[in-house]
Amino acid sequence: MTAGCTGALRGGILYLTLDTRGSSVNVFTPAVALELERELEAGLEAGARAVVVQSKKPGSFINGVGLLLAASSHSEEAAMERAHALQRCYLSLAAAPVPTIAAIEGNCYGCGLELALTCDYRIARDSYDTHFYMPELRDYAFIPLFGATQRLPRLLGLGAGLRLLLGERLDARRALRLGLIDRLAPDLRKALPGFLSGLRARGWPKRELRRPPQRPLPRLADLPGPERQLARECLRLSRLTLRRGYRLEDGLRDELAGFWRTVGTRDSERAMSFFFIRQAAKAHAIGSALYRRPERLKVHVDRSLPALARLFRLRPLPGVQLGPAAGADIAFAAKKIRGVLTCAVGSLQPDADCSALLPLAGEDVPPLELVPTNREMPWRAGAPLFQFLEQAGFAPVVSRARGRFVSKRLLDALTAALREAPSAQVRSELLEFGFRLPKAVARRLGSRKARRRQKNLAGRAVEALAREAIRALDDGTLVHPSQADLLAHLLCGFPVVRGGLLRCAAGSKSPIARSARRVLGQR
Amino acid sequence: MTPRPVRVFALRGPRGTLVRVGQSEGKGIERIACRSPGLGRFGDILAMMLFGMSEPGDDEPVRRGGGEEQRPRCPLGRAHVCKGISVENSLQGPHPARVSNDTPMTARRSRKREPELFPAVRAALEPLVAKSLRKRITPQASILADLGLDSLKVVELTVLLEKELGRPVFLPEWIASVNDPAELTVESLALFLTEQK
Repeated sequence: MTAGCTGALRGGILYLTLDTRGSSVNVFTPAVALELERELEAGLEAGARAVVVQSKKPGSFINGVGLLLAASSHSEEAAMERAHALQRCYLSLAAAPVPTIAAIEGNCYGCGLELALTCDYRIARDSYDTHFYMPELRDYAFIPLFGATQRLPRLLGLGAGLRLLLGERLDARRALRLGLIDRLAPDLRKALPGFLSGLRARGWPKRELRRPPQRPLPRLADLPGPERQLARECLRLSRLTLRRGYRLEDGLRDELAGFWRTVGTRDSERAMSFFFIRQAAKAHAIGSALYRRPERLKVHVDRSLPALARLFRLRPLPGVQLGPAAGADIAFAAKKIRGVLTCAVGSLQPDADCSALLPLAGEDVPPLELVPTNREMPWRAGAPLFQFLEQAGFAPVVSRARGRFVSKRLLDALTAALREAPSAQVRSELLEFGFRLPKAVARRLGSRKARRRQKNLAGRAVEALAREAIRALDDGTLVHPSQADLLAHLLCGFPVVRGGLLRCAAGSKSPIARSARRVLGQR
Repeated sequence: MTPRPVRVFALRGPRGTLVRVGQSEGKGIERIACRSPGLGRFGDILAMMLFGMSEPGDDEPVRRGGGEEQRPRCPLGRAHVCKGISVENSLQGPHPARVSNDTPMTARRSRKREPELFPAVRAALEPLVAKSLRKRITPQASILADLGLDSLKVVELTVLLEKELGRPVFLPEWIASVNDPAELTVESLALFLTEQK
């Protein structure tokens, strides 16, 4: 039985297929890396002319290196032992004497993207669930360690490379425009033979790096306070590639040292714990944190919701068909459609199966609060809707709101707490604390007329949000603290390095600390 | 044998202390700097050996298996100099006085005793572990290497544990408390949950 990688030589092409056993996504563990390395070596010895790295999971190329391993490797020896096993695999793929191609379908995150970067060519499926994202700095507060700081700037240029390192999400089409991938196709199985034929016709060339177009650098001063230092380190590492006499091996060594300096910090530990908060909220919402949805789904969007229909059209997913209400599995409409899971958008509708609020539609990953009418939690019947929305790039959260959506309650509480303070002060202090305020929320906070500066605005923001979240937990509107933490993060950009709203409040000296500890079950 | 410096770390729990002797200090593992009531017998004994503290209640009878027996005096004395001690999971190990005091000295598990919350942890793990691996759910099993759990399944485990225990559970603190992923065992999880009670 394999850990997650098999190799097959067909027609002179070595296909390395990733399929992590027992998981809904591919996780690139040291055991998988070892298998990939062995299969690669065996395939090259058998005379492979090209290597294709592909995934057997429908929605995941590689989702990560295994957060459990990263979060529990606290001694340098343990961390480095695992990092070296993985690094060896990356280096052997990069050093393969034949062209290597990453065929990407589904999420390509973190070390998965770094693996794709070691390949000469990248082709991707043209669907919205094919996403490229480096979560290391933004979600886990450490420096990537498998070559992203060295390979991204050389491929995309310093500006675009750094943006991706800082946590910009790219869908497949944007990735093609930037030059991260070489070809986009609706069906990779059909596109791959053509791509390989092209390589064969040119004599199986390895890729030659060209000078990438230079785009402006992101302004590091605009980043939340806790991320700035890491971003500067990323910029320093990326700039190494511009030095005369630069050697990739030296850059990779520097990057690994940067990783080790940042991974064991308190910020990083808290940030990694936020992954569990996010997934726990999902598990409490629909009964499972696993990543899957029906292979075929017919979705209807009512004419009264043109903005939502446009968003869905811009975010095509394999197997999802937008169409009429008749025969649909899911409908977004104002009133219940018989025989269809109907979701009423904008207000709480007792007739529909559920109601939804999209408070920040302009965001890259817009949060969306879902309220099942039958108040069932976990809402297993709503799992296909939840998973569809998640893969279409929304951030769904399920609540049992009555009268008002919890999202509105939290946003109103935050606005009220900071009403008297000057807007500029609110924005700068919250940014320093680590808040990544969505533009629509930032506009609502503070007063433009106010002149007198006020004290501890971040503390007041945390207290106001936590107070409202505890109220929602106490009245049963939210069923688990993780949902409150996730809502605060999605709506107000609450920083992951603080380890969740309620834990942050519980550890503070504010009057709400005791109640926060109570809802968290802490002594 | 050349004496080599050792450092002692203790993971405290209400039922005892997981004492580790190693070369480097890891996060979440507390270095024994002084003895405290929560340290447990082995922590006390090692603290006594290494820091020259006297063991409390040396002469008090200790309960073992329902009967009573006299706790033996530690023959190593207050000024013992530690040379290359190796202690493996000393939670239920015997008193070091009963082990040869030749160096290196190894305290071995005398008998297996399941942690208090092991049944609850096993019940939560069973639906998540492949049928063929279920017989491997023992206190010593690693949740990564032996039971094949990944981070998403640990989230599912959190939800199932919350159902079993009827209270919120936050496993990142447990994950952060170990030094090496191999230490993420069923037993350490049960001890962590007991400590959180």
